[in-house]
Amino acid sequence: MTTPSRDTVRLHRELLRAMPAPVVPLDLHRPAFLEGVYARATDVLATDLGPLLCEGLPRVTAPDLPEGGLCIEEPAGVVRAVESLMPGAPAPGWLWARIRDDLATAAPARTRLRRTRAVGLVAAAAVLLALVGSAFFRTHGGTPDTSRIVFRLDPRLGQAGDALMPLGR
Amino acid sequence: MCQAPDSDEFEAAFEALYVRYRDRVYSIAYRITGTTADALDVAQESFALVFRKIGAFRGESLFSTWLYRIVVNCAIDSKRQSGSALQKRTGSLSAVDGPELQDERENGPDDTAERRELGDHVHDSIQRLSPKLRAILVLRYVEGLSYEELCVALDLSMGTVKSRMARAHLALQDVLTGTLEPFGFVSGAPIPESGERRRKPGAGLS
Repeated sequence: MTTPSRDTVRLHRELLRAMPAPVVPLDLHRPAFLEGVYARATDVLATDLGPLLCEGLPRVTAPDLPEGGLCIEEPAGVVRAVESLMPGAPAPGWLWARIRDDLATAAPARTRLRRTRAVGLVAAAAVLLALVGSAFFRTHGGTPDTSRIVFRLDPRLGQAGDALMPLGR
Repeated sequence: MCQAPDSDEFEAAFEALYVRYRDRVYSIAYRITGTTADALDVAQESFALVFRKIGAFRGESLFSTWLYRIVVNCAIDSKRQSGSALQKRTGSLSAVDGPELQDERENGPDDTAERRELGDHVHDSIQRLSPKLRAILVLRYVEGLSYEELCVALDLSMGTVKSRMARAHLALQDVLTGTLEPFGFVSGAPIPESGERRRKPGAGLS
C-alpha cells in the first residue's frame, strides 16, 4: 500500500484541526434530551425484564404495605433481575422510581376495581342468603308470599358481575 | 463512580458526566454521521449505552477513550442503518436549523466566513470517506488522540491503526485533490507547521 507523503499528512492535520467546532443544537441541552437517554436505557423493559417485573409486582403491591399498597423499597428480586440484564450496573433506583410512578398512576383504578368487587361479593352473599332463606321458609312452613321474592339488577354493580339485589317481597 | 454506588449517587454522577461530555460526544457524532439529526440520535444512543454499561468500565483506560469507542460504534452503526429504527425512535429530535441552533464558539477574529467555508468544505470532504476512515481522522486530529488511545478507542491493534490511518489520508487526498485552490492553497506546496496557508501570489489582495 502506498503511504501518504509527510506534506499530505501535515496538510490534512492542519485542515482537520482548523475545522470550526460544529454548532451545538439547543435540543442537546434540553432536559428532554436526558430523559430520552433514560428512556432508551430502559428500553430493556420491553425485553426480558418485562415478564420478570410482572411476576414481582404482586409481591410489591401487597395490600398490607404502606403508601396505598405500594412498596417503597426496591424488591431484591427485581433488582437482581435488572442486574442480570445489565451486568455491572448499580441498583436501578431510577428504574424503580419509574415503576413506582406507574403503579401510583394505576393505583386509583385498582382501588375502584377492588371496591366494586367487594360490593359485588356482598350482593352475591345477600342473594345467596335470600335463596337459602326462601328455601328454609318453604320447607318449614313460611308464609306463601315468600316464594314471590323479587330481584332487581342494580345498575351500580354493573362491573361486579351479574349480582342481584333482593328488594323484599 | 463505578464502584457500585448508591442509586442516587449514580444518577447524579451520570448526569455530571453527561453534562461534561455531551458537546464533545455530539461533535464526534456530527463529524462521523454528517448531519445534525443523526448526530443527536447517536449522542442519545451513546449515553444510553454508557448508562447501561458503565459497570463494565474498569478504569484501565481514560473514561473519554472508552466513551469515544461507544460513540464511534454508534455512529458507524447509524450510518449502516439508512432510514434506521434508531432515527424513528427519536421523532422528537428534529433536524434543527436556523434559530434552533446555538453556536458555542467564541466569535474571535479568526472565525471568519472564509474559515467557516473552508471548514464546511473539509467537513463535506470527509463525509465522502467511509465511516471508519472518517472516525479515525476525527479522533486523531480533531480530538487529538494518540495512536495508543486510538487502539483503545477503536479496539484495534497498533498495526491496524497505522494502516487505517494511511488509508484515510490517501482517501482524503483523493477527495481533496483540486478542490483547495479556491481557498488559497498552492497545489503541491509544503504546508507550514503553524497552519498558515501558503497563498497564491495575489490571493486575498484587493
